[in-house]
Amino acid sequence: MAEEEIVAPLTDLYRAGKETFPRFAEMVAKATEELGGFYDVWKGQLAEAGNPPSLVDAVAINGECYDLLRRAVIFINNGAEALVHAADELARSDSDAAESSITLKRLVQEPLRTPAVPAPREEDAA
Amino acid sequence: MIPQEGSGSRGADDADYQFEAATWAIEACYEDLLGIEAVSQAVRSSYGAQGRGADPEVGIGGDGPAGVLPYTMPTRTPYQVSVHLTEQHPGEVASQLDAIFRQASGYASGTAERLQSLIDNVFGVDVHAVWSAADAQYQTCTHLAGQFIDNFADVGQLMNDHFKGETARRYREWYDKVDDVVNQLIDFAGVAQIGAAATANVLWVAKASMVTIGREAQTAFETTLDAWKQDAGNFPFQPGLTHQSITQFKGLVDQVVGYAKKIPGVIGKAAGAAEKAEGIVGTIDRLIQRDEKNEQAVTTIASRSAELLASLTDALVTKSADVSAALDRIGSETRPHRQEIESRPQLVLPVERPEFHYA
Repeated sequence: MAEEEIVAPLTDLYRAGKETFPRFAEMVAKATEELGGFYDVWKGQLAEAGNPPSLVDAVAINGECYDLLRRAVIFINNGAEALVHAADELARSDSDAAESSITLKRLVQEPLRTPAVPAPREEDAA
Repeated sequence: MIPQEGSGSRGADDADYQFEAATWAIEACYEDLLGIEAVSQAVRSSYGAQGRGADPEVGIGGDGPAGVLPYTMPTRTPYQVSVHLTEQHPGEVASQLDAIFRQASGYASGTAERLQSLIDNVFGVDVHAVWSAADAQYQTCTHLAGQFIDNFADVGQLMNDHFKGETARRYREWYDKVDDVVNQLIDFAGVAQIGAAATANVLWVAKASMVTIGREAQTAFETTLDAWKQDAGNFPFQPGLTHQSITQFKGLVDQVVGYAKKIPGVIGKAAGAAEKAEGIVGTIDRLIQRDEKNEQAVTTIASRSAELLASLTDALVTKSADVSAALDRIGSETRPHRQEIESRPQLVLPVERPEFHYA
């Protein structure tokens, strides 16, 4: 009975760290990339439109959102690593639990795959 | 109002193509008008102006001191007038008049580009791209907000159940940070999206207005040119408009006023901008009233063209200024949000890995 209780949270921990968090980080990364694309489109029309304040501000806000969401991707990736680390600690403390489930075995052995962090904006990278 | 993708000559949209075409048509008319005026003046001053209404079939030696020369005015669509000669050298006269026409029409060169530059904060802007990106950003933010709620909350509940003590506190702090920051950033991205979409709307309405102004001005120039061409029987007419021309312009003014009255409501809905129905309409109207009050008013082709150009210039400059004012107002709404996002250190998430331990 005690063994079952500990297997369930271990599985959930690994799922959260190796599946749920990376999936969420992937969504944020995708949204970040998309915002970066819209930023480029708006920025590309700034000069043509004579740098109107409304578009200048939209570009600036999107640029900030891109930078900050990019950090959020790193932040979530780190959270995934921390969860997997906690799960590994637990698995090491009770090897029987880690060996008792095929699903858990797969989750333990599966490497952590966090999404790529969007590249810094060119003006930031320069 | 959703801008549609067009086939603009500058990679922008169809409105740019239409306005550009109108300005080139205006330049072409202006070239012809200046050429006609210069030839008229030359004939009046150098070759005699006594033969108005003469029959070109009579030809040289048939009428007047030295005859009548049927002269083909080298406009884009050539037409014939009669020149009463005071001297015999019709071949030389025709070539001289051709040269005078070319030189005068050359002064119109650059008119189209100058007109385009008057509203360059609208002309050439890819409004469809700006609007599409704004619309797509709305979709992105909506999708991310929904996914955030669905996925992250489940994990949060799991951790609350199995992390205790210090780890539980750390996890909640960590979770609250990313929850708060991502949600706030979605809101900020929404502000940017609204600002860009409002910008696109103002520019789109302005483009429609720009095309209307350009087309009406084109019609005014074409009507002017037609009036003088139809008056060819009176060449080299004394300075001033015929009654026929005045009547045509009055009809045109009514038409332009009708268009202009529709414009303020449209842009008002889009950006709260106050539109002035002045410019070309008011100037033409005043011109007509002046002509009607004083039939002796002297209006040459050149002065008529200059007044039309001045009116068009006023209309475009006013339109450009209205757009700038509308975008300034939108900017005054977005600026505080920009300043806020740029000055909130709590939005900058740390890049260090947190420590969680199962308890």
